[in-house]
Amino acid sequence: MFAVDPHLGLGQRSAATVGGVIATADSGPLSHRYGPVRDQLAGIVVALSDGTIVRSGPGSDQEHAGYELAKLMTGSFGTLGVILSVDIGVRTLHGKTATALGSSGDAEMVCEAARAVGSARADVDALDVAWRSGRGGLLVQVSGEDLNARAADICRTLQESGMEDVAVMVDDAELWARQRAGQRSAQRAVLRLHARPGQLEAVLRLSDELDATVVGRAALGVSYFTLDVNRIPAARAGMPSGASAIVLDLPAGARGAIDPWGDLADAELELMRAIKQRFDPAGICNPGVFVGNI
Amino acid sequence: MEAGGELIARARLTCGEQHVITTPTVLSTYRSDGLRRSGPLPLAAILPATTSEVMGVVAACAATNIPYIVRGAGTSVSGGTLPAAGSVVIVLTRMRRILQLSSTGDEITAQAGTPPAALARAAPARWFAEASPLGTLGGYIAETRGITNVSALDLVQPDGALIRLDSRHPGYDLTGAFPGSRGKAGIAVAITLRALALR
Repeated sequence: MFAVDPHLGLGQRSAATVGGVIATADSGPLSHRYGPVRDQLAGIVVALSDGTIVRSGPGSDQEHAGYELAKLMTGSFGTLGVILSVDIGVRTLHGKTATALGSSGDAEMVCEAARAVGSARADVDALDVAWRSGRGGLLVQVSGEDLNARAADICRTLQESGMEDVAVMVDDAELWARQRAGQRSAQRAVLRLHARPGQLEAVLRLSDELDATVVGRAALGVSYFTLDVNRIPAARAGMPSGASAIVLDLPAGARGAIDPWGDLADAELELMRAIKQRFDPAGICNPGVFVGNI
Repeated sequence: MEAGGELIARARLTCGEQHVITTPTVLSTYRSDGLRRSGPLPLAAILPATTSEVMGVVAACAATNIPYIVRGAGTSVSGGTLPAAGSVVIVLTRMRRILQLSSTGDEITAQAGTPPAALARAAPARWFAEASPLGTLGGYIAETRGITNVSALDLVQPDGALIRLDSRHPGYDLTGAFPGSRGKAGIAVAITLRALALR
């Protein structure tokens, strides 16, 4: 399988393309085990704005130094060139899945439980948090052999961490579909917060202040807030130190009124502009859609 | 003035007399790599100890138009540490301090010349996908594509300016694209790693 599981559009699972997923660096719960889409790429072929075809990875005729092309293109929103093809590492699909669940009204307890599971288990496919109005829980998915025993073992860890309503769900597809759906919204704003994993408690407390619904990767520091559009400035102001927030979705009426990218230091922006200039001197690749109006 | 004389004088002012090596017998230490191949004898080996010293040396290289090669422990097997003709070697092995460990133990920041094994001694987390690599942290990052847990970099650019890159910031994923850049994207003088989840 291609080990990324982005939400493929707003309720339209066939809406996305491989190139689009890479260009937007979309990812989902499976990134806990397999890493984000960036980490799945072994190589890439890109058309630059002057018509040059650039390759990296398997099949390229020379070894390149400098920034790695496939990583640079991932999440660049088409501003550096057009992704023509990619070499993707594929993984073995492990078959049936089961999910251990636990809930709590204590954000600190949820974070401790996530840390306990994350530090003890190498066989977890996904370790997600879901949180709303001061209560939420963890979803821990496993796949492959000995499902019941492994899920039960995770349940014991959750219970020892103080989590409530601990249970195993075998038929868990709908549960994870809901979790993925929480990364997008057609009616409200969606903000992707990127913080340190150790800042999850602060992130959950911030969501309570903003009346936001949260889904996210409990061990990776990536959280998706669904919230009212007028709460975005407060969300950015209240983020934990070093975190960033990108707006993924806005209601139709609010588009254009909010910078989806947020602030970036001048030196960083200058370097990114220089990279853009190097790849696309004519400035014709998706102009104006990226951070700093790149 | 001898070749590189102005640069060497500026480097001595920046790093101290004893940390700029020009004696050929000593200098020959810095012309080889992990395969014991040899490049030309460099004009000098310069051993800065701080970020500002690296910035000063690189700025001096830019001003005098003298190329530099960055070297850690010299364990590279790709030729990455071999000097070019008329170059100086910037050696980062004096930069071996752990700079910061996050309160939750999930991120660590160290100078580029730090031995990778020192990270495990500083904090009990999994910092590397493989067994603790050889050489220096900076050399490992600069020479190895596919490292996924670089969280932030302090990068000295070819003009000597310092820039802080952070994987959490919006924009191009420069921290993700930096590993394996082999010195072509600047010198990472401080590197922040995120603890790897068990996989």
